[in-house]
Amino acid sequence: MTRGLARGSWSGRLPAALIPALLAAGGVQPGVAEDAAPAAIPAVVETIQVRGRTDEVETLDPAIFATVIRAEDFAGRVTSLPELLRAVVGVQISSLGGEFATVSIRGSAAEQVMIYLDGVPLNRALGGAVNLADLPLNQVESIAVYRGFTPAGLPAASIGGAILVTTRGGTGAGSAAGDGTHPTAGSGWTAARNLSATYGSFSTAEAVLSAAGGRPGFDYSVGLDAGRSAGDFEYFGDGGTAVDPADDGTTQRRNNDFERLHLTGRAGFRAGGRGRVTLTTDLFGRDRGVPGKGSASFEAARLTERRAIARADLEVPGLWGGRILVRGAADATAALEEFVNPIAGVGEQTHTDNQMNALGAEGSILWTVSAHHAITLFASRRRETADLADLALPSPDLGSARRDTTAIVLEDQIGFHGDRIVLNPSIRRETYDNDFRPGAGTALYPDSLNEGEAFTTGKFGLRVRASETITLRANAGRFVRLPSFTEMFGYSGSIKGNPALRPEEGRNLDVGIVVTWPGAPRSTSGHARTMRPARIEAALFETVAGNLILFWPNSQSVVFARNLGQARIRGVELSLALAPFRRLETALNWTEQRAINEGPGVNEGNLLPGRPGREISATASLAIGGGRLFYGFTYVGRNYVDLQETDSSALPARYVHDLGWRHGFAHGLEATVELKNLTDEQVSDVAGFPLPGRSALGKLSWAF
Amino acid sequence: MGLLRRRVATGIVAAAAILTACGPGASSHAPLTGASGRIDPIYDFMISYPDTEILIGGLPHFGLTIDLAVRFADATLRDSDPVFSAEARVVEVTAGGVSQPFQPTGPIALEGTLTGDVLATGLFGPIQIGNAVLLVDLTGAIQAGRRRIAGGAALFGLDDPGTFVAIKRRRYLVAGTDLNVIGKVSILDVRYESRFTIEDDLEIISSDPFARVEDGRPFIVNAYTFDNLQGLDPAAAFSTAFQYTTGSRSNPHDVAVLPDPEPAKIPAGGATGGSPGGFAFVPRYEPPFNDVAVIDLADGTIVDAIDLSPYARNADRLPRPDQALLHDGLLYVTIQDINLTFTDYRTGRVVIIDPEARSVIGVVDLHGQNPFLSLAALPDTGLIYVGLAGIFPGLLKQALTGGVEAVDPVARTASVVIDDDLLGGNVASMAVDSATRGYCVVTDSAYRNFVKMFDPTTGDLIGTIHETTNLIAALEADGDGWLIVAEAGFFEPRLLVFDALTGRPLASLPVTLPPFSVATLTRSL
Repeated sequence: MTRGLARGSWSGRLPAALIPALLAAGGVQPGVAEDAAPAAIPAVVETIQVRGRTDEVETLDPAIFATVIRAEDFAGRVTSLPELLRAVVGVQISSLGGEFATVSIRGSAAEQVMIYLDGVPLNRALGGAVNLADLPLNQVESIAVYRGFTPAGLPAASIGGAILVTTRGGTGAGSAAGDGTHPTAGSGWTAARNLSATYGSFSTAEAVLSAAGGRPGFDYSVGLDAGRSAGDFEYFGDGGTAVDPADDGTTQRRNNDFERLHLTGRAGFRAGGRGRVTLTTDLFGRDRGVPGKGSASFEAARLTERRAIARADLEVPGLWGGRILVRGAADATAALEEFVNPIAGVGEQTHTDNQMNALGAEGSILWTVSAHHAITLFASRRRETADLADLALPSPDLGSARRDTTAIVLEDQIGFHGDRIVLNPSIRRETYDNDFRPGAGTALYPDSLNEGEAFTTGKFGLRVRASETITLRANAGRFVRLPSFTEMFGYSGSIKGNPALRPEEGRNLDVGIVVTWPGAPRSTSGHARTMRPARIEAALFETVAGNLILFWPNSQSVVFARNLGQARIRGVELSLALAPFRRLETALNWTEQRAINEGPGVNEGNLLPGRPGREISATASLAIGGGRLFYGFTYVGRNYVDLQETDSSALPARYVHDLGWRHGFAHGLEATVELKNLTDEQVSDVAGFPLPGRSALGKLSWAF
Repeated sequence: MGLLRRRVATGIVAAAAILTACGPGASSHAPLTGASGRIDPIYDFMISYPDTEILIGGLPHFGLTIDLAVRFADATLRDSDPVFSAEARVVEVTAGGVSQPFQPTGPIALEGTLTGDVLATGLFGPIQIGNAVLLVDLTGAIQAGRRRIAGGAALFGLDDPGTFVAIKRRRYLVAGTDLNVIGKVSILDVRYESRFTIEDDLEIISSDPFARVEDGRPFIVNAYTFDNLQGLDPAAAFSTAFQYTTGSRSNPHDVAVLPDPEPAKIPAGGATGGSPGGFAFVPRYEPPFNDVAVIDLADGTIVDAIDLSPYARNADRLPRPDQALLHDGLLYVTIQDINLTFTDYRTGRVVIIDPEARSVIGVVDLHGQNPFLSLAALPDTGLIYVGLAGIFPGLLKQALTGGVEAVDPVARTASVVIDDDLLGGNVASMAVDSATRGYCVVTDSAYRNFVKMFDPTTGDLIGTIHETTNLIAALEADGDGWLIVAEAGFFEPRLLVFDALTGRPLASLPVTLPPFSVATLTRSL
């Protein structure tokens, strides 16, 4: 987020409040059954498409604890990606109450979670966490959350894990029958279209148009999302005096509006005899207010974002007698961010204009050694650049940074005893080279302009299918987060870069059990099943994170980053999904964790801020007539905002109840009404950003 | 939470239903008192009766000492009546050189007289030690700049002669911060010039705090994005008495308080009428404020704002008012005169304001740039000293265009005391102790921080008394010969105490939060 970076060659002192923070760190969806996927390596390996109606969803790593949210899990809902992820076990969401939210997994920092959109990493070398509001949820086919570990076949890994967001594919490969598509007489084409409109509190509105179709050998999908909101919810504020209750009262959030547009497209076609090419793109633009925290809001600060992502994938299966699968991909990302704040305060930007570009290429070879043994060699090369400017400065150029990253990963997957036991070791060798060219707009130079490093990480995964219903999993590994450009090279006159920074390092460990009852078959008399489907997952995890990067001042005017911190996070994840009655589906997710600062320093042994010790989500949905009633509950435990564990400043526990009704009509029409935060809970997040109270949203959609 | 644990096992939906009944359990703050008293002088009395014999547990003990902390009620000292009231607490009693149990452990009311430099407590007590019940009577003379009292001590009913020495307790208000989201108040207490104790975490403040003592009252100025003035109550363990907003994103940098006049002198009504709480003058650094806000401390109302924009010469006409000092009935406010993007620095200025009329009556042009966090008057010289940082390295190159300057409040002119070229870096903080001893924090181009000693009269650089790569956030000269240095290191945040005359280190005191600002609470009889 651009405006989070402080600027400063001011006369003045660096405001302590603007010094970057210390230690930048669900429901199991009914029907998620990744464990049911066979681990055996098929004789002819192909990518398993994640289809909305697929009951068994393959994940990229059979041993990692993962949750997959599929499009039908939230079809018809009026929801957002942060809302969906908040309901995933082990996942924490931090929201600023508008168009900005970040995710952390198992107590990690948000920057330690890799987020991919159709295989393109969204994390930026410039720094900062990925804003979940940047993702086109309405065009999403699946969201896979890998907790604590990153699958080997991805170009970048990190300490917290990875989230893979995949947009919808087309319907023309001949496998889409029953997807609601309509064949066009005589042409071999199928097509499905959906139009929806949403309106609700705070003048929130959204219009979505999706179309997908294809014919044998070719498929496509395209989606257009347009959304806006005034974001002017009322909240209970402290009047700028946190201690004095006399001036507390209800006030209105200002400068929290946004307008957003996504154009998402995907096309796939056969190439040659075996090959398949997939082209994806996401064009994204948004203009929004940047309101700041509740008691000290910006009245006129605006952020304009533009981003274009394009990716081409080639997959050639069935080589060498069906034993080799070759994949290759190339992607490009261009992003522009312009932040304007006409009355910026000390340490704040006035008119930044930053451009971030990325080019990536990757390839992999999967060799099926035997029916139970596969070896994958993956290699990727990425180049990221950032050109930074502040147009309000006499010399706007703040410099340019470049990072080249090369990753080579070797993954082995071996099954024993008919794949009852699967081992999955992988080793990752990464090198990165950085280069920085200071601009004329700054006089604060890092000690070195060129830095690079190489390191080796890896993981070991184990899956044991003890019985038809019980699966054990365990993983151990080591991951790193590379220092960002800002941490290494500084930013805009108030952050002095530290090229000598080491990557943050995390050693992760987890072990758990998954119990799945597929449900007993229906009796011949047609009476109810004696046992209904259920799934229970429990996992213990530990992350020891070291070399944590922290900004700290070394003078009145400048902060710089150092490897200062260490933390240990231990926790338990429990998730349960069951359908106790024919029309009722329920899910519960429960996460307990303790994130301890292991120092060094005076706060050693204290809890890390922003990591609730307990998070619970529960969902229930009941089919009634032609509709479905659904209820969701989220509990986020009390958590400290500071390393001192200050009770009076801790964020109180949050209890949020949502209720909705979805009803289907003839001709593909469907209507949804949702009430969010039923009890009008007045809470804030991230030390002072108010969240909306009760709101109502309605959605009308038409599939045609 | 107990409810959660009990019921959730009964089923998912049932749990959700039960949880519906759960509330946030939000904490709420109690109403504030809205008024803060002045700081009371505290003296530590060591009373000695060398010839006294008392029986404890049936055994005789020769020689008795009583360590007593006496808090004088400030209001009774400032009135015209020589009678004062005070509260004494027994800290320790020794008999025969051995520490003994005593009663009471709570306060003992005391009423005495202060006539000129003679202090007389009259009889107070009782203090029970073993089977002995003592009533104490002290009479002594105030000495050494009111830092010390010495005299005779009598015991009711006994002829044993005694003596006492009382030492003014040094106390400091320390504003600590995690440099992120929160700050806390600590109090550094020094008994008998050598016994250091720190009471941490007394009150929550912002993470961008300035500690100030004005009109005998402790304040915290919560600066950017917190934007309020927090009054602390010294009689209630420095809890918050009031908290008044200065305006969202106003970035208050300092406070000076025009004392409340006697009630009879408060005119009825009128724009510049009096207030029983007095008026606080708060420089508001950020646009569009660019002024000195006048806050009625009785109720927090911003009754006036003195616009300083006309005195700025940079392209954006932003004065950047920084520090405020009330001196001889006039208010002196430094203005940095820097534009919105901090790329256009003009030479600094000191604006002189008539606080009664709430208008600017003069401007003193400084020679250097960026008057920065430092403004102090020195009675020894009658001058006002300003620390100027020049330009820190950042968007612009480091420029040593500051130093220390002295403003003559009579002639309304400024002169350079010591140039930062001689000091070797940007002057990030400054304090003056006497006509011959001043100190400043100097940050060089390699971000090493030094505490350097200079002579405010001759302008000579005397030497360096401390060097660190940690941030030195503040200097405080307590006016009683000590210098407090706030070193905001990440691993070992600490307060350093120096003898201001010699620069000799006296103590290094670890604190739980990096200290960011220090104000002197010490108050004399």
